[in-house]
This record gives sequence, C-alpha cells and structure tokens, in this order.
Amino acid sequence: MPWRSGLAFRVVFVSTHNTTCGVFAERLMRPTLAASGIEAWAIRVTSVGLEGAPGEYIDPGAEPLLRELGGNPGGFRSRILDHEIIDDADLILTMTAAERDAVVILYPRARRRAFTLIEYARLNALIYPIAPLREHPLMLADGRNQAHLSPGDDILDPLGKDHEFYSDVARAIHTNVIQLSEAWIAMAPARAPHRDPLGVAMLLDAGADAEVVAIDAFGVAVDVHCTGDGGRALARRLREAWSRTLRPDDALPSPSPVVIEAIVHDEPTQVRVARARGALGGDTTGDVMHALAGAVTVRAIDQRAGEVIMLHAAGLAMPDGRVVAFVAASGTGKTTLSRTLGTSFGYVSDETVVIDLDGTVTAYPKPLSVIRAEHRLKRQLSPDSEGLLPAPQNLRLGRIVLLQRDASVGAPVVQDVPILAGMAELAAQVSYLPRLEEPLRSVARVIESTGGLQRVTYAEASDLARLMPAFAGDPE
Amino acid sequence: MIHDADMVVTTVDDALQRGDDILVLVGSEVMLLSPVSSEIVRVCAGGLSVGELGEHLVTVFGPPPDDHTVADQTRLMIDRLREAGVVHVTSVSGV
Repeated sequence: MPWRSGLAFRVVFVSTHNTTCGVFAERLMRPTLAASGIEAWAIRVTSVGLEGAPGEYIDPGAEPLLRELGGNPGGFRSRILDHEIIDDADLILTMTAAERDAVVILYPRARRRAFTLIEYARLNALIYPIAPLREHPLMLADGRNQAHLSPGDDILDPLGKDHEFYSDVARAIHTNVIQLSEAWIAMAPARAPHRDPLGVAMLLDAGADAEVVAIDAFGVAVDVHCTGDGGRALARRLREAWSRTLRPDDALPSPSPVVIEAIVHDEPTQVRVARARGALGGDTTGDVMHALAGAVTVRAIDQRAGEVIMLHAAGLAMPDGRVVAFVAASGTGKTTLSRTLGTSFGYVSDETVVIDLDGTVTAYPKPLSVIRAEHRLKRQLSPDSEGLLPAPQNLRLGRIVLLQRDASVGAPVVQDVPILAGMAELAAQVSYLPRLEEPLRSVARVIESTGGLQRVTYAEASDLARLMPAFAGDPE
Repeated sequence: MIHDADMVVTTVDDALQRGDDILVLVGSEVMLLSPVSSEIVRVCAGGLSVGELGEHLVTVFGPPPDDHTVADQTRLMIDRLREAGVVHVTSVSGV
C-alpha cells in the first residue's frame, strides 16, 4: 500500500452555546500550536455548539478575555454540531460531562472519541501514549476510568455570570489547552516525509554547530540535529540512551533520513524561535529527551504505515529468536516488564513491536521510558546501562500476549483468548491498522500462525519469566 | 424513517468471520458484533431490502421477543448499525 503522509489531527471543541467556552478553547489552542511550529493544517482546531443558531458572534463578555490571553476573536461565527462534523473529527472535547454525554447520545459513534477537556488532558498526562495523535483518543478511551472525574471538573458556561466567573473559565481552558498542546508537539503529523537529502537544510536553520545523532528506528533512518548551548550534551546523552539503535557513521540510508531538530538552550528566546520553526526545544536535556522518545517513534511509525503490524507492546526474545509481544495500554507495565525480563531474555522493545506480515520481527531497542513519580517527564534509560540482553538475530513472532496487571493475584493466570474478542481488544494498540492490506485478516493470519492470543493476569513482572518458553510456543 | 422497500448495504472496511461471529473495521474502529448484527452484515453484503431482511432474521432467529413487531425490531437494529457506520440505507421510495 503506498505511503501517505500529512493526515491532519482534527479536534472539535463542543460546548452548549458556541459563543464562549468553545471559542476560548479554539482560539487559544491555535496560537499555542502555531508558536510551536505546528501548522494549522496539521492539527485542525474548530468549535461547535450543541444548541443555538449558527452564525452568532463571540459573546461580548468573552472577547476581551480572549484577547488578553493571546487569542484572536476575529472572524468568529458559531456553528452547530452535525453528523458531518462528528464523522470528520478525530477528537471531540466538551467542557462538561453532561455535554460529552449529550454528544454520545446524539451520535453514539462518537463514544470513544468524546471526552471533556479536563478528562482528556488528565488522561494524556497520566498515560502519555507514544503513537500518532489520531490514535490517542481510542487508546485513552480504554483508560477513561483513570481520570477520576468529579462534578467539580466541569468547566461551566459563564453566560450571564460576572466577570470573575468568565475569567476563571477562560484561565481553566487556557491552562488545559496549553498542557495538551505541549504534549502534542512531538507527535504532531508531518505534512510529508521530512527528509533532508543533502543534510544541510536544517543545519542552515539551526546553525553550523548542530551535532547529528543518527538513529535506525525499525528500518527508518532518523537524524536528530542537536543544537543550542546544550546541543553537545544532548547529543552525548542521546547516544548513550539510544545506544542500540545508532546507525554506523558510514551508513548512507536510503531513502534519506527523517530529520528532527532538537534544541537545548538556557535562553528562552532561542528555544521559542527554534520551536516556531518546528524544533523540539527546552531548557534541559531531560525535557528534550522525553519529547524525542515520542517524536522518533512516531515519525518512524508514520513512515512504515501500511507495511508492517506495529503493536504498542513490550517485546522479549527467546535465545532462538522467538519474540513474545506483551500488549498493554501505555502506562500499564510494559517498561517495568521489559526492565525485569530483559536481563534474562533479549530486549526487543519496551514500546513498539514491529511485525512483518510473514511473522518476522524487527527489533526497536529504544531507551526504556521510565516514569518518575515526582516528575511529569519520563527518564530515558539506555538498555545497556540497565544490563538488558541484546536481542538475537532472526527474530520472529512467538506469541502475542495481552497483559493485565492485578496486584491481588498470586501466581500468574494464563488464558487463551478467542481470536475475535482478542482482536477487538488489541485493535486500539495497533498503529495504522486501517492502512494494512486486508487489515483484520492480515493481523488474524499472523496471530493464528502462532497458536492464537493469550491473556496473562499477573502481580509481579518477575513471575512471568518462567512462562516465557510456554508463551513462545514450547510444550508445557 | 426507514421503509420496507429501502435497501440495506453493508459498508465495513474489512470483516473477519470465525464461526457465526464477525469482527468489523469501520474507519479506525474495530467492533465485535452480536450474532444478530453479524447476520445482518453477512446477508446485506450485496444489499437487501428492509422487509426481506426482517423476514430473514425471523427465519434465522425466530420472532422478536415481547411485544415488538418484526418491522420495529428490524428498524431498531438497522438504526444502530447505521449509526455505527456498519450499514448504509438507501431510500428506494425517495422519501
């Protein structure tokens, strides 16, 4: 299937009357994204109302607050939600739970794409899926109960209320919109393969002192151009953390590499300017390393869409090359499992297991993304420094196992999972599934060639080590 | 309003059948269908009128429970599947 790029991520804010809250969200998110070099086509942000008439102006009480927060009210006219808008949207964000429920009652098909703004921002921060943005809503819908929403999390319509109420509403929306925009920057869609055949274009933009870290992300060449006064330190840290994915200096990739510019600089203006041209930037290497883990992976996923099955899974390999892919939603134990079992079995990936339609597996031994309880960012740890075994050659799929952690179980419980029910569960964890030729049948053929899906319910990752041979297909 | 003469056509992007059950892909969503929905997807692959579909479902599953009429129950199922993007209904009457 030919590769297509540049699919926009389409976000629709829905509020009761499309004259206050939705306008705030739409008109505050747009400049936030633009300031990070994300073009308007890449993340399309609009707003609509559940009620009222189309063509209304922004509420007069909202306009000065919107300007004060950096939004432009110019040219706004309200719109009303309809089937076409719902079908076109990747993500539907409402202000209150009641509005979200109303959307789902009117358009049941939107069930897994509709969230409140606070619910989605909270889930995104908790789970932080590393996948193309269009796939995030389905991934986050599976973890919806983790948001623990309360009635106090609703952002209420300020119509008819005093200025202070308006101001509180505007600031609540602004805070959440900024938080989401920041998280989306690294994984925003690229209009076309961002390649640099001569290897100079970004250097001209970034300055001649850029240091390039050349990565092989499951067959996709990605060059990270490290710039700024912290550029050299960033490059050094990247080479350590991404040690198992570095391309040899003399390797000339074909096609030419995907380029990502990353800047670490003490001076905020330098970072702001670089971000406006599309660079990932921050004032610490930790910030930028965190963003790069998502950016490199998502760029590579974008490039291989339609060619291979890309599972959000941890992969561990038996000595003979059979890989067990442990599938779980982001933030539910894949990295812990990799870190624990990877000292006894070959480390394939903690995030993305890449499977050809003939069952061949391509390793992606990226850094382990480890959550720090006290910090919003994940640390990127080298599999070498963690003492993980390298994956053997000639990898092939041994089994796909659905992971379910339950601290209350004693010994792990393994169950066979019927193929259709298992695939319904698995689907949200497969990147670009619709792009595959005969998507469901292709994935089913690969799964059934390994003896079918299994689910394991476990308390501690270390309990799974003794089950690895059976998962991989050895007779028990 | 759905009429007996209207045509129901399955519109899924891919389908996987094992036994009597069907898993479908519609856009980016994967759905495991109930036995009745699976039957509708199967028999409407080439298009079937609402009236014929109702008769077919009675033949396979028997009459609907309680006080529901065949026509009401069939329309309810079609509405749900249409909302989920699994089938498309073409009005023959033009109404």
